[in-house]
Amino acid sequence: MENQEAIIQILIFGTIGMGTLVIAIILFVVVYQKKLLSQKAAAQEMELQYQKELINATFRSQEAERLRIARDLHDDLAGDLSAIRISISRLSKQMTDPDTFSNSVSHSKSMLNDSIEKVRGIARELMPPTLHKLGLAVSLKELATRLEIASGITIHYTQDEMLPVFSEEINLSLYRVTQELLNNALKHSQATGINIHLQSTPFSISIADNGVGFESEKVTMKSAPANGMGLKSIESRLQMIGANLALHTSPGKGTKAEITL
Amino acid sequence: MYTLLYIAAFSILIPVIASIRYYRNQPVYLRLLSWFLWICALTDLSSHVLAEWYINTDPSLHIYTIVEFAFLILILQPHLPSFFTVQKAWYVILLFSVFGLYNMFFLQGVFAFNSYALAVESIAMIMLTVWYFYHVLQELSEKKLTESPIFWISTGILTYFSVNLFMYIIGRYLSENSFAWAWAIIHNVNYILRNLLFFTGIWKTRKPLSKSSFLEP
Repeated sequence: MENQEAIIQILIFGTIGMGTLVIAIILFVVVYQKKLLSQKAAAQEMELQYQKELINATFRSQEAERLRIARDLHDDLAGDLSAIRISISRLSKQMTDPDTFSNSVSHSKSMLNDSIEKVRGIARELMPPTLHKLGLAVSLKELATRLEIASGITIHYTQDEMLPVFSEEINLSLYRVTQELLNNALKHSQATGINIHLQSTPFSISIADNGVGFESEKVTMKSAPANGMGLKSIESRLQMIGANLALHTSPGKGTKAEITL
Repeated sequence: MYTLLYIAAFSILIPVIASIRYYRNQPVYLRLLSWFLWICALTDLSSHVLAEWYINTDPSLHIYTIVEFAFLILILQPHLPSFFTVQKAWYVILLFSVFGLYNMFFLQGVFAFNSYALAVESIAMIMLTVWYFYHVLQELSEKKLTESPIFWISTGILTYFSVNLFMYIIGRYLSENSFAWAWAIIHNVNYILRNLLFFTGIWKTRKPLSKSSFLEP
């Protein structure tokens, strides 16, 4: 009799236990799935926001570039051309005096040469001709030389032998990003020297300065949209060509930026 | 006891009526479920008639188990990872059918209760439904799980076969008739619960589907 009761108890409690286990599994699936879905939605929202910021950064960067070109054209070139026009309009009055006439002509020529140089400079800024003709390495070397002369900071350029050849689109992106990183270093790092190195395999461009550095947590790719416009624009460009950027820095220890492809 | 028996017997009519009412709105897997429920109702009816005439119903149970296994596999297959193709589902059905027939004629016998086949079927169904739930968590394609018919159907299958498996294991040690009532109560409650969960699954398709979703599994 006791044995019978024990078996019935096993049957009843076992079934209840089995049922409870099944209910627990199903409840877990429902609740956990809800939680995962909300996490997924939040992550998608964050990603969307981030992509929006990247697009905005690209637009801002384009607008800033246009503004700079407009300023260059207006302040430098337009001023020079106005001066040339005035100089030429005076020529007819100075024809009686050959010395003054000759001086005015050579002055106008000199101003024209300056203007041509400025047009070339603006064009070079827009699209370096060496990039198309001689490739990325030569263009970066030329950029380093140009910036060294302009800033007075030593910029040391080195490269491995046999660098890989990329498409023009990739070359242009790598050039622009390097240019932006160099500009950042010149503007903010207070460095006295910058090293640029192009490594062949795996391909990478490293830009290292001996400046003040910064707290890397404060400026990351996905944060600080206010001061990270440059970085966002860099990331946007690199994302398009499948490259990555790593920043190694700490206060007082300089900054090393490494682009890998 | 008899009241519960009648309720259990008639409980199959709830999903059966719903499946007839909403058959036009159903995607393929739910139409398979409808056919399964109709076969289930006819088998139940024939079992009760045969039992009235004191005819052993175990031979029909052997065949019913194979049919049930085939239907449930085909209902679950579209909702499992793509790795488990229709072809693989048919291989599994074929394998189980061979085992079921071997059990029928050589292992337990035609006139014996086919607890081996039922236990194997229960284990397979538990594994498939757990796989389905795992897949749901992996894919996260369902926005509202409780609105999905297959969720309720899988819940019904998992509940039904988990309790059944336990009962078949325990049943081996229950030789005395005095335990039969407890076994019957649990079995019938479990059966009613399964039918109600299947009904909920079918109820979720009461709104007409668009042409494109109708073609989907």
